[in-house]
Amino acid sequence: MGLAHQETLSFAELYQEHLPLVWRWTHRLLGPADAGDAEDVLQDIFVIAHRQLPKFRSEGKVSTWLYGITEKVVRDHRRKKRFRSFFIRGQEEADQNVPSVAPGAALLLEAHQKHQRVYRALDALKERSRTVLILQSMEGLSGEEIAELLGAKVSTVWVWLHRAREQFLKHYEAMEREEER
Amino acid sequence: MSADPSEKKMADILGQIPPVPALSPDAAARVAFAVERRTRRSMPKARWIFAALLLGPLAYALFGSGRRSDLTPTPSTVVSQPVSKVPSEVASEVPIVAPAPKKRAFPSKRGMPADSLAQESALLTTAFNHLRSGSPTEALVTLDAYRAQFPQGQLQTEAVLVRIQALVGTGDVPSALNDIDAALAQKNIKGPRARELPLLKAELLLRSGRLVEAVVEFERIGQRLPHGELEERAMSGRVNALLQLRRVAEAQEIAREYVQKYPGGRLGQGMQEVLSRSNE
Repeated sequence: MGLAHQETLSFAELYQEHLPLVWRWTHRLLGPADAGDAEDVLQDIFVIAHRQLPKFRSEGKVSTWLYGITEKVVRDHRRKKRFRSFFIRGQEEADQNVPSVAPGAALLLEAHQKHQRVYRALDALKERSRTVLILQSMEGLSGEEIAELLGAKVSTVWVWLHRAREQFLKHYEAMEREEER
Repeated sequence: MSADPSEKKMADILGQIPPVPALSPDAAARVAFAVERRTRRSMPKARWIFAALLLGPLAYALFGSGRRSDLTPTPSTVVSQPVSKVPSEVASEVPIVAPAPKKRAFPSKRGMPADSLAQESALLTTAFNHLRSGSPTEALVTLDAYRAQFPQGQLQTEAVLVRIQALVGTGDVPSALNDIDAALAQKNIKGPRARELPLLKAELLLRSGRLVEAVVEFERIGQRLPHGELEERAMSGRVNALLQLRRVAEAQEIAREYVQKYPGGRLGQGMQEVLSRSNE
C-alpha cells in the first residue's frame, strides 16, 4: 500500500487492515518468554501509529512504516524486560520452598524446550541479527522483503543473514551441548 | 542462498517453531478498546466502536485455524476489558470506555534526557547485581538511590519488582507485601509488568502460609490475567493453596480448567496428578 492510498486511509482502516500482520510481527519478535505481553505491546504500537499517522508523508509503504514502529516498541519492551529476568529466577527459587503441585513440571515437553532454546539463542544475538533471522526463517520473508521493511540494501540484508545464521548456530549448538551434559 | 550449508540446518531447527497463535476476537476487541481509550481525544468514538465490533470476526476469519484455547472467551467480569460481547443495539449506551486519561499516552518519556533510560537501567542493573551476589540490603540502598534520582522514572514498575525481591531476600515478607499494596495504589505503576504485582502478592501470601488470603487473592486476580505464563502461575498457586487447605475438589476443578486451557502446558503433568487424587 503506497502513499496514494495512505493519504485517504483512516486510522480505523489502517488498524483493521494491518492488525493481523502487526500481531504476528509482535508475537515473533517478542518470543515465547514475552508472549503474554503481546496484547499490551500491540496497544502501544497502535497508539504510536495513531499519533504519527498525520505526519506520515514518506513514499514508502504503510507496512514498512508500521514495521518500524513495531520493531522499536518491541525492542524497548525487551530492553526493559532484561531487568526482570532475575526476578523470574528468584521467584522460581521461592516457589521451590512451596510444596509444588507439579513435581513433574521440570519435564517440559520437547517442543517447548526447543522453542525456548531457539529464542535463547536468538536473544544472544545482536538486535539486527535477531530481527533478520526471525523475519526470514520464521516469517518466511525474502531478502528483498526484509530489505524493504528495514530500509536496507538487499545485498546488505544477505550479509546480515549469513552472519546471523553463523552466530545463531554457534549459540544454539553450544546450548544443545550444555543441556546434554 | 541455497548453497549455504547452514541454511538447511537453520530450516530444520526453526521449522519446529510453532505458528503464531491466532489473535482471538476478544483480544482484538480488547486492544481496539484500549487504543481507543488512549487516543480518544482525537478519534470519533462511533468509528472505533464500529471497528472493534467488526474486528473480532475479521481476526477470526483471518486466523480461524488458531488454537482452541485462544478462542476461550475472556470472563465478562473484567471491567477494564469490555469486549465484543456488548450487544450492538446497546453499544452506544454502555460505558465501554474508561474516563479519558488526563495525561498524554507516554508522559514520562517526554522532556527527559535521551539517556535517562540508560541511567535508570544502570542503577537497576547495580541493584540486580547486588541481589544476585546475595546482598539484598545493598540492593535496597541502590533502589533508594534510584527512587531519589528518578521519582518519575520509566522503569518504576521494574524498580518495585526489584525492591520486592530484595525485601523477600532479607526475609522481610510483610514489608514486601506492604510495598505491593503501596505500588498497586499508585497510578504511575502501570504497564504489562504491573499486572504481575497482584499475582506476586498472592504468591507471597501463599509462601507465608496465609492460605485463605492467598486463595481469595488468586481468585480475585485469576480471571484478569491474559492467556499465558502469568495465568498459569495464578492457577498453579490457587491449586497449591487449595490443596494445603485440603479443599481437594476445588483444586481439581482448577486443575481441570488448566488442562483444558493449556493442553500440553508445562504444568500439565502436575495438574493431572492433582486430578488423579481421591477426594478424601
